[in-house]
Amino acid sequence: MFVPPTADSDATLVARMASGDEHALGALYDRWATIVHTLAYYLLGQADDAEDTVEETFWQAWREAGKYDASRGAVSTWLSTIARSRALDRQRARRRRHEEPLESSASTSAEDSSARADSPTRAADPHREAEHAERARDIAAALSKLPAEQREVIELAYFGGLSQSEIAARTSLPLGTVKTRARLALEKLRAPLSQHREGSQ
Amino acid sequence: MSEPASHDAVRELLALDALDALSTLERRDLDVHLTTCDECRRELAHMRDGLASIVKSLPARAMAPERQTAMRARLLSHAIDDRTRVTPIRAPSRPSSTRWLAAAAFLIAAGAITYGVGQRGAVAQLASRIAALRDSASTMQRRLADQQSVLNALTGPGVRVIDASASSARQPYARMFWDQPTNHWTFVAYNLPAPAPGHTYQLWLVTRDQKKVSAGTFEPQPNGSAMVRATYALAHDSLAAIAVTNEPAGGSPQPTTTPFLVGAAAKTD
Repeated sequence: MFVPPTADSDATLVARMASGDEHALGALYDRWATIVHTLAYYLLGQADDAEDTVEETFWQAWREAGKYDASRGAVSTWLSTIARSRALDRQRARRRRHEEPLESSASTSAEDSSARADSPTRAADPHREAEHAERARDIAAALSKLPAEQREVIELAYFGGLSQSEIAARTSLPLGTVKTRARLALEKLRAPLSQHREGSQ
Repeated sequence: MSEPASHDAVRELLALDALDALSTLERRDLDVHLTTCDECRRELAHMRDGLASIVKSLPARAMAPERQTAMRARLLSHAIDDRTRVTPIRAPSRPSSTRWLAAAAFLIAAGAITYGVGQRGAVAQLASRIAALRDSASTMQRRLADQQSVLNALTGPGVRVIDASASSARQPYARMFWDQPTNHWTFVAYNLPAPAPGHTYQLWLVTRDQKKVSAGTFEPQPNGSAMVRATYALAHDSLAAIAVTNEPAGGSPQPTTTPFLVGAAAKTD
């Protein structure tokens, strides 16, 4: 881009951002914009909304760089958390406006078919239907190491933004079972990660 | 009062916290536990990293290169503006006279001399206290300077005043003092409810060509009052209004919600 690539670690870039260095923001953006956009796209399913989410994410990262705490996760995790939160805000706003009830939650579970039925746009837009199915397949593949019942909980919570009680209501499972499935799933997902917390790219 | 949740009970909550799916009560239990349990903090970090890694295994969806470049330029431009233009004020704290601090420092120093130079430990301790007092004195001086600057910005001969009000039950209201000769903006507001969790208030200067310039984010004091100060050069006839919106934490490059406080600026000749 406009400045030479930097070898600084992600954490160093965030520290530089906290001291007001906008070039560090540029470097972090160059490094992670595509990943953030990928997450936003899979959560929202619309290019414009996904791009707005990317911009909001890096802006929030700039404003809150001083609050980044490495003990709570890698910088890419921090960015993903911000992006997910901003994208879910948009997703919920859409639902409130009845534009797209639950369609973009990317859930592949059978239980949400009834919730989808009230979508006014769904039946009329086969292209979006196909895109939605493609996203759902990609997410299922990314979670393929998990048993189906655990995958469903992660899909609903991480990509659908549902709380534990909403998941329990949606799946007709007891709350305790939802908690257990979430824990088992994340224990499987976290295992290989203890070796490769990213620093610099 | 309920007893603190046990380590095992809290461990059950880590996965749901990583998924941001906890109830408010459970989150409170977990937050309390995390302040003292390194093991759970580490485990939670690994779970969060694990979740974030899902995204890396999804097929990448890149933005169009020209849009990505344009967004980068916008972000850096906003960051430069943010760094150079806006100086949020800290909440004023207990006023105090720096003279008391100076006198205290003098007495401590004098005491140290008369007490005996042989007592190095005591002298070092006193020196450290003097250094701390000097730091406090300089902090107080900065606060006094801040307060003087606020007074100047509110009472100068070139100050314009713009009122903003809302129609909700608690009737928040606000007043902006624009010291045009110095381009200092001082915004004071009252009766503001606390913003929703994860959100903040953001103040905007709306120009006559509908440009919205952020003047900073802020959160009210527990009593509902707030003050924001900013420095921003604006042509004297180009302000149309001031507005306050509710934005996600950290603020937004442009307003994303309808303003709940608006004040129109009278036209000047």
